Amino acid sequence: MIIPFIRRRWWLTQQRLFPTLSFAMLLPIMLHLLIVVPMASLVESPLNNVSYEKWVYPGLLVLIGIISLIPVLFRDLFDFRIHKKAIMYMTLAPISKLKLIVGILVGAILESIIFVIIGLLVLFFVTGIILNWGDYLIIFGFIIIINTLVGSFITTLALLTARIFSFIFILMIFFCYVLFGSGMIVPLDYFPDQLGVLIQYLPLNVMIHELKLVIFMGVFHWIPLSILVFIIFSWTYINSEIFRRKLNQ
Amino acid sequence: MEASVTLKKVGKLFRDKTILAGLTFGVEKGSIVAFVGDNDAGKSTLLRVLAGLENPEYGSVFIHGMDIVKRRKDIRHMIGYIPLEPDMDPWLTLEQNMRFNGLLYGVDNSTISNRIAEYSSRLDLFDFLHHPANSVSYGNLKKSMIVRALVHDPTILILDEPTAFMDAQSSRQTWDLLKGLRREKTVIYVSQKLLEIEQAHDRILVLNKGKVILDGSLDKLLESTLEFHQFQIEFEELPDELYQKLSAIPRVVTPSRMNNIFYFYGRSRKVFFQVLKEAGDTLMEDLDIKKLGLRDLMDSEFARKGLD
Repeated sequence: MIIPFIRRRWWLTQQRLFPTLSFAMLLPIMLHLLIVVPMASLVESPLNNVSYEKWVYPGLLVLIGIISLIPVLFRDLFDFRIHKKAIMYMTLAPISKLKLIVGILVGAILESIIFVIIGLLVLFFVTGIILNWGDYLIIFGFIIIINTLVGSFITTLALLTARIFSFIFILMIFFCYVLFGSGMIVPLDYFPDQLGVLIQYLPLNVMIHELKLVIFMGVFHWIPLSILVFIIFSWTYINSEIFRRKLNQ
Repeated sequence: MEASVTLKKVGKLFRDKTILAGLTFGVEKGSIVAFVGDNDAGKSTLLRVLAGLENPEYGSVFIHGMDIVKRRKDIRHMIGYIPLEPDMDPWLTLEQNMRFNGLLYGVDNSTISNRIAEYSSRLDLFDFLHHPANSVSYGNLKKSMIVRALVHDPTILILDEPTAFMDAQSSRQTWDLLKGLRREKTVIYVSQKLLEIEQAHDRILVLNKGKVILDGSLDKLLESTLEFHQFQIEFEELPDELYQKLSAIPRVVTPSRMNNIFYFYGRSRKVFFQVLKEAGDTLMEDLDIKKLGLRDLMDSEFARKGLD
């Protein structure tokens, strides 16, 4: 039942191929020039044998994935819902709201993976950084989990807000957190001790921390990852219930 | 005849306002049924409830004997819904919108292609199939929404203003298609185009404030009005005093005026002569007498007062 959603995303990408490709190629360059380059002169890598550019690299790929996820979920779950467009018609199909939410989410995540692959290639030409195949596989595995987590958050936000201002305002706050508070770009060592301890247990921080542990230290923890996967499954189910109640169906 | 749709005391509220007030009726399989009524009568809400887009606050809706809330998934396949406003994905082509819908309903690709080809040719949509929805006129979007609703071959078609935004030829094609589907599918629709309803109906239900106030075939609905005529007299000048005087004649029903034209309904021509007599020497420019149609029946004055 996921296939129609993936085909739909493919059709949508085809319809806007040039703008999509331009965005996919510009995004990593902009992120590198506007975030990594200035940050490299301000922030030190928390790992002795790893440069800041290399330390921030997995986080940058995750960031590309998250950014490319937002417009897809905004369009399908907020814009179309508020303006009673395509999504309302989809709800009449003989599939559960859970499958509908999962279908949209999977389509969005697959598209974001393509963005990340393009970003990876562009970043290789810009920075020259390259990891081994195993590391890339791990990064993609983490990106799928992180995008599902962030996608679930954006889904909840898109379903619960009724005004564009509320949606964008909350999203901006979230984006500030992703940029500066998730440990993706700025190491948590730069936060005051108590605040650092507090935010390191946020789900996204745990994922970013685990990702960097695996890539740079070769250490892998199953327990936090399993807990997060459980949270993601529960959250997706909760989103489908929110959707059902919002529609009164 | 076998019932396709059955409503039992279906009610719908919006805050304190009653939108549907305990509706009970059935729709026979393979018939074309029109819902008419004033704005805010609850017509579109009723269609959304029948389509499963909204749940009723109380009462039950049965589709081919199955409860629409309890057996939602089984019923989805049986219903094709066409809302009033175009709701297609603006970035996808018309064909992709239709195909995506078919895929969601589990229809295989070749069947989808055949149905799109069949219905698109009947609605003269072929040239637009590969255009993005945001570059197509509203009339063509409405036609493609009909094709989209037919792609999964539903047994019940629910349409909110089937020919909205369409030109005369498109309206004709649409009605030819819908009438061709009669017997095979049940067609339930809402429209403000009363002339179309008069030509296409099997049965008409008149809704007023969430209740069915009239129900039957057009002939049956007009039965009570058969002896009634609408009279129209255009005076050279129609002063207020004369208008009041003519309106006060006992058998003049629901008098109204537009500039110097005096309109009224009456059971016999006798009342017409009485009006002419009362008008006396006032100069008249034109006269018209016509039998009543659905529009007259729908007149809000009649809905409130009745014809007698």
